[in-house]
Amino acid sequence: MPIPALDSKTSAWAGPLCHPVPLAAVLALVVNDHLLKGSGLVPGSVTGKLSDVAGLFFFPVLLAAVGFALLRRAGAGEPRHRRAISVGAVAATAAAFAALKLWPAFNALVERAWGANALDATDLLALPAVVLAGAWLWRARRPSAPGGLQVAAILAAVLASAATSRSYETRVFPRWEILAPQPHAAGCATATAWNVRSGKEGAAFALELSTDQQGCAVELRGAELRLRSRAVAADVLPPAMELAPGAARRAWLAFRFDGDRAWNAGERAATLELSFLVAGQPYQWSLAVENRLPGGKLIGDMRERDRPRLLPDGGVE
Amino acid sequence: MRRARALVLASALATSGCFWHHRLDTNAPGHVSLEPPANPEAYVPDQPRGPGDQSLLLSGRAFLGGGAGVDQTGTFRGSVTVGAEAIALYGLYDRSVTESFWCLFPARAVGAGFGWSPLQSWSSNPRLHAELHGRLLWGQVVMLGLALGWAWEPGAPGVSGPQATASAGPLFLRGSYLRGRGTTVQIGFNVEPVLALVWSR
Repeated sequence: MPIPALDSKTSAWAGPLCHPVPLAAVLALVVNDHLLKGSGLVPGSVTGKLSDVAGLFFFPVLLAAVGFALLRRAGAGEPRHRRAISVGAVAATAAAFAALKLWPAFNALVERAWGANALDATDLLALPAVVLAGAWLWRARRPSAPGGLQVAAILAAVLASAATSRSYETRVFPRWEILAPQPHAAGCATATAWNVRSGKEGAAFALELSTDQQGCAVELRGAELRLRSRAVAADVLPPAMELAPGAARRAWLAFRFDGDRAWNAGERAATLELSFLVAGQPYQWSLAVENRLPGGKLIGDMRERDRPRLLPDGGVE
Repeated sequence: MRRARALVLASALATSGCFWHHRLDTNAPGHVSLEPPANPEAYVPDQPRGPGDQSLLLSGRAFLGGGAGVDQTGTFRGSVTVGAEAIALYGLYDRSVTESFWCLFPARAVGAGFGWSPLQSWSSNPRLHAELHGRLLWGQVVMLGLALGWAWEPGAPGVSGPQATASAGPLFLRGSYLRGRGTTVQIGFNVEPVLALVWSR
């Protein structure tokens, strides 16, 4: 396969990019970022690294093409100049990528302009791809790309570089979080609660009751979610139960209300009021809850593998 | 010249339907079921289903069309039009979109546009038009559009008539009949960067 040129004054400035190999890398990046990621067809560990490898291969070639164009405009273009630009493009790409993966301040700066990018040192495993890019630029021969094709190749590569992965899969939603300290002691029982579902239809919480004593009778007499404008009673209360050591029991508490209206009206703080009868004694447990976006953003520009995992206790991994 | 043509074409392809998104947090919660799972072990935090999005799409379109037609004297003539158009659409997405710059088309959109064509080969008068637009996403990639409206020349009283435009991505086919001018059919392309204000459904 003929390889595009480097070493002629008349060579195509984007010649090394106008070749099936770097263009295949551009295509791989686009397909990976916009089709494969989050599709479930390919493991997240593969799609994450594939973007890095493809990007690290074609980006130095793109950078060098821009350098060659400037060089040609300046009337230069000797092989040594072009080789210096090639080395510079490879070194700059490697340095920027390493900084992106290791330096939190730089990573934050890039994320602000370009969308999420994991601060993950293991991504540096993809760095050898820049060496391949360097070899590609170094060995380039025989220019033949027409001007229109060069412009189109540059535009495609720039767009592929600029466009971040689609974030359909990384939309985050507001979730009611319990702020109260847990677990809560109520006589012979211990109670723990967490949010299971939060949405336009309302919210559902799980309540887990346990004991270390024999014959601990618990009855949930009331469960209410008190929003600023109204109080919502639980759909159904669980039947009275007798707890035994080592056998925790769970109850489902669903509160139906217009979650959209509450969110849009700014009703994002509430109290979950639970009334118990434990071994014949009344207990009240008030839990402060807040409806909030994980990370404070409606769209999480995170990669699939960086998404927070919700834990059974309502926390985030 | 070839490079300039390629650049213009690539720009048209790149910007037609590529949006700058600004996301509002209205209606942010997703859809959930409040029915309990059969097994209490499954009482674990669940992600809501995405409700999709809606958007207000504001675009400024520059277009160039060329074609032919029959003028009021019955003569068959070529025609060229250069103009600009401002369009506002309300769009619906089946899934959530992102804030980033990328071509994410709404599944369907309706709206209206107002156009101004200062350069046209059949008249020295600028032509105005107003159209109602409907657009539909085809194959997840191309936005197909149909617009129906009225065109007129403010500088030539009585010169007005219906106009229809069909489009596929950056390409369009436009037909019009203006009393006092005649009938024209043009094909052309446009550059249409879009600003989308997006909020959840």
